[in-house]
Amino acid sequence: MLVRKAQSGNRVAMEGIYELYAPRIYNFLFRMLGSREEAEDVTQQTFVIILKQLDTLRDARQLESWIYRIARNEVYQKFRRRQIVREDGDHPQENGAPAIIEQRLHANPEQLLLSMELREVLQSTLLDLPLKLREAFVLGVIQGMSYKDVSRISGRTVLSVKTDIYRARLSLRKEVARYLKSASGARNSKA
Amino acid sequence: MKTHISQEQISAWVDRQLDPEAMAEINRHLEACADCQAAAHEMSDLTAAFRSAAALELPPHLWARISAGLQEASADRRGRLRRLLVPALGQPTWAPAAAVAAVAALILMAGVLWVEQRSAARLQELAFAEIEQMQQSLSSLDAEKFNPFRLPDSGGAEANPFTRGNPNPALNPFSGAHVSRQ
Repeated sequence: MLVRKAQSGNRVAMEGIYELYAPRIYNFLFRMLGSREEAEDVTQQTFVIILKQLDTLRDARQLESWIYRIARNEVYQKFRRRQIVREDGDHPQENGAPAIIEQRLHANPEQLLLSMELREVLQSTLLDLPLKLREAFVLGVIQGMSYKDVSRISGRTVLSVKTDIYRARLSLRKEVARYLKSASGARNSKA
Repeated sequence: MKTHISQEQISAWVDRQLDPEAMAEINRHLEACADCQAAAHEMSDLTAAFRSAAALELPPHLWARISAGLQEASADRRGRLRRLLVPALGQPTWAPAAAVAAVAALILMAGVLWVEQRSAARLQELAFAEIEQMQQSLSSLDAEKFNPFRLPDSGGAEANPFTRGNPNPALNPFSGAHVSRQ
């Protein structure tokens, strides 16, 4: 109903779709890109695209996976552009590594881990993952989607999604385990 | 020797993405296997850590930006349509010029075809007229004159041996003169 109204140009219905899906899309994009500003820009681009092309959507039940597909395509395009810039060598600052990773590489790890918020640590370890694994992990684990939905959005098989999520867990475990261990150590010493 | 569950299966078990039978089987195994249980706990902790990080709130001004973006896009679309349909004043673009050229070419082709068709019809008409004229002139000729069986006119009735009133009975083999000679 909401989709049909939005398809006929109803602005209130369009805003309804935005309110329903934008929070999850914005968080997905933040996890993928590692920057609030970029996540905001890509959320804007995604919703402008989907609301402009809404009349091309045949099955309203596919709306969510369609929005996610457009959002992840925008992310991949952004990374391709970054890759081109990096290969050109004109913008060495824009090499895709957020400042937080740079800090982590150059600071004392113990000190840094203690000073950082948990979310920042998790986010920086997540950004170390290859894009494909990161996408599967964010959708399937953080956002709690079924592997089937993740496969529909990413265009990969369910088996491949299952393997990617497992590989992402393995990579993240090493980094995060260190932080979790020190955090639980701190909790125990306080107790 | 105890067979452990694959780490990949445990990962899917943590996400509750296995079918009910496989889930139940892993549950039973985890109750009895400390190693697999430790691996499952580790993966569950990791998942919980990522999920516990509070979700970001949407920036309040974002819808206003999207709404403005949509208006801009529809204005762009209208502008493109207008540019396509209404060329700049007094400045013909290639599209109308091409259309005029195409129409002129069509008219020219149609003219050539019409002239050719008319010439052919005229030639046909002239040929028929000629044939008709020849037929008329042939039919008006003296049939007797052009009769191939007609004897030359030099001797008149006298020259014809079969003429009834032939004055020279000697020439007529059926005349009485012959009979009398026998």
